Amino acid sequence: MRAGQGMRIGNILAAFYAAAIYGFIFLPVVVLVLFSFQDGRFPIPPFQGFSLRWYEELLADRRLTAALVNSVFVALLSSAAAVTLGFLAAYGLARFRLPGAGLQKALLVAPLTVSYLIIGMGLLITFNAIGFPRSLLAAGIGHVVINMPLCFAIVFSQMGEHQANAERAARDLGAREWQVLALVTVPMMWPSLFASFFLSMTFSWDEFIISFLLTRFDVTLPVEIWNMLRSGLNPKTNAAGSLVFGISVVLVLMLELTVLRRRRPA
Amino acid sequence: MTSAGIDIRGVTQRFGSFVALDDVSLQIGQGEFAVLLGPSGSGKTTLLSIVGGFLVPQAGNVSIGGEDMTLVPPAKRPTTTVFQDYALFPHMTILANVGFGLRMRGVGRRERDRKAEEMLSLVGLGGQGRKKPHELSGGQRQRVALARSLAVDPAVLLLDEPLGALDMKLRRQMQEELKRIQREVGTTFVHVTHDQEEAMAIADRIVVMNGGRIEDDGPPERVYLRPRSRFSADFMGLSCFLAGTIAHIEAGRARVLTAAGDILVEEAGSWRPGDRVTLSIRPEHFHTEPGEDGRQSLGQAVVESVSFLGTHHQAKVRHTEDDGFRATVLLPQTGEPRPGDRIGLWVRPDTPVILGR
Repeated sequence: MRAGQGMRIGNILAAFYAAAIYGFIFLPVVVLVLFSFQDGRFPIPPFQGFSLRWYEELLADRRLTAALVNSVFVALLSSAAAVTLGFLAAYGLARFRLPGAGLQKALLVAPLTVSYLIIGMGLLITFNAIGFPRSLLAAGIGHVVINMPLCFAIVFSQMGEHQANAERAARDLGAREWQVLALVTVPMMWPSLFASFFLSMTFSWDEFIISFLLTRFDVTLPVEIWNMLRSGLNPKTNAAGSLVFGISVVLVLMLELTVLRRRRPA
Repeated sequence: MTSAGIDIRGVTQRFGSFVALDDVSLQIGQGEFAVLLGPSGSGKTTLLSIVGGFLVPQAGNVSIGGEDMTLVPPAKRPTTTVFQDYALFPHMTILANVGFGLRMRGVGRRERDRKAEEMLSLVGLGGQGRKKPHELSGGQRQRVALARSLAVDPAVLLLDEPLGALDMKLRRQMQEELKRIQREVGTTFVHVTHDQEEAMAIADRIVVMNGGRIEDDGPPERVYLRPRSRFSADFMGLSCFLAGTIAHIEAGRARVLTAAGDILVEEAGSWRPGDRVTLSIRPEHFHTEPGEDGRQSLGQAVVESVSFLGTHHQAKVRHTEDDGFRATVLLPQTGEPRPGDRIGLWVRPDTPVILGR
């Protein structure tokens, strides 16, 4: 090493800075998870010992487990719908000459720039006006609204000449339009379809405000956690938060492993 | 195997203000190996796309095997295409790729695997069916694309610059293979290329295209030796052009006055005395010495540059009298021509071709 004194101080400062950034990002999560194991009644320092009792209580809580199941369903179905719609829109806009294609693309992606609060309120007012009840279905529709633009953008960006040529070859060999989609386009687009599906799942899974506004009796997990928080801090809420975080991590890891790993240069 | 002729009549295709094809008519016989040859933008690929059904022309008709196909989509035509980038399905095995067309026709798995294996053997890839496209080299992918297109027994196979991405040696090898496969299956092949050597090596018939029109059309020997237009003479191999005027015509022979001397040319065609013409002469048709075969002198030229091509020397020369007459001349392998050398030029009456100015 030929680094001088100044270089070494620079490195130390850089390391300190990096540690501060990661600390800032992850400390709240670490605290949340740590105090979910608190052997005591309050999720505040000092840490009194390791216990799984709050997780036991969590799993014994019928409303919470029901909310968890609801959340899984809403995430799975809304993501599937968002990916399907986003893919079809991307296919249509990438492969056919449509009137006002630029405007249509802009309109499809526009919801990305609107805050969830506005989307939630808009849907609430609309659903009220047409007499559609607040429900998990309503929240699911809300999640499709926020995730479809994302799915569209991801899939559209990955639709290249390469697939277009393979589709042309399939048609040339006698494939009908649905066969081209099912046997060539979708399999070739798997990585981006997977990526957008898992990303949608992650967003739907911990989305709060739209679910809060659009559900009533059956609620999703974030809404149920908010209900618990209203009655005061409690290690059980930490346990619930840790659970949500843990599942988000699993989703992101799956995304990483199944999609990003497999992507190799064509 | 099936095979059918193609009849293209009065086809016009515009892209915006660009005319890609200008009232083109062309008949290709059943079982023929036809090559559409031309520079980029000449309309050759557009014509292929129209025969394949990927484009509907703004005017004109295409019929294949006697049936009008102008508005029929690619899937329902008796044609298949080998695309320039192969367009293999990357997620399928080689066997599934080759069997895809048969699968679309409802052929059962066992039968289509058998047929796909047979096609792979035809293109020299027997036993490789379980691999995926990315495990193969460029040349092998090319063969898979060919096998995939032939597996459905097309009446016409369309090849869109299929050898463009291969290196020279592989290209030569594939040209021979294509020729062999075409003889074996007997299908009509229409092959697009901008490589005139490739065209001469494989075609039964060459269609030279330029600016959306057909410039020349015939067997390779005829197109090379007696090109019908200046473009065709220039594009198919090297040629030099000498301006002249027809002095008189006798017994089908023309006496042509040029700045390099007067020469007699056989095959006067329909030229008349007084016509201003261009003589096209191939490098190998120049002699540097007088001889007993009727060769006539075209004066002398100075060698400007020489390159050694193995089988011979190729010299660029400038005429001593007519500064505008520059020619490429083949000189023997032995002997070392140098820039600055003076050489004599002689041509036989049967080799120059009279073309318009």
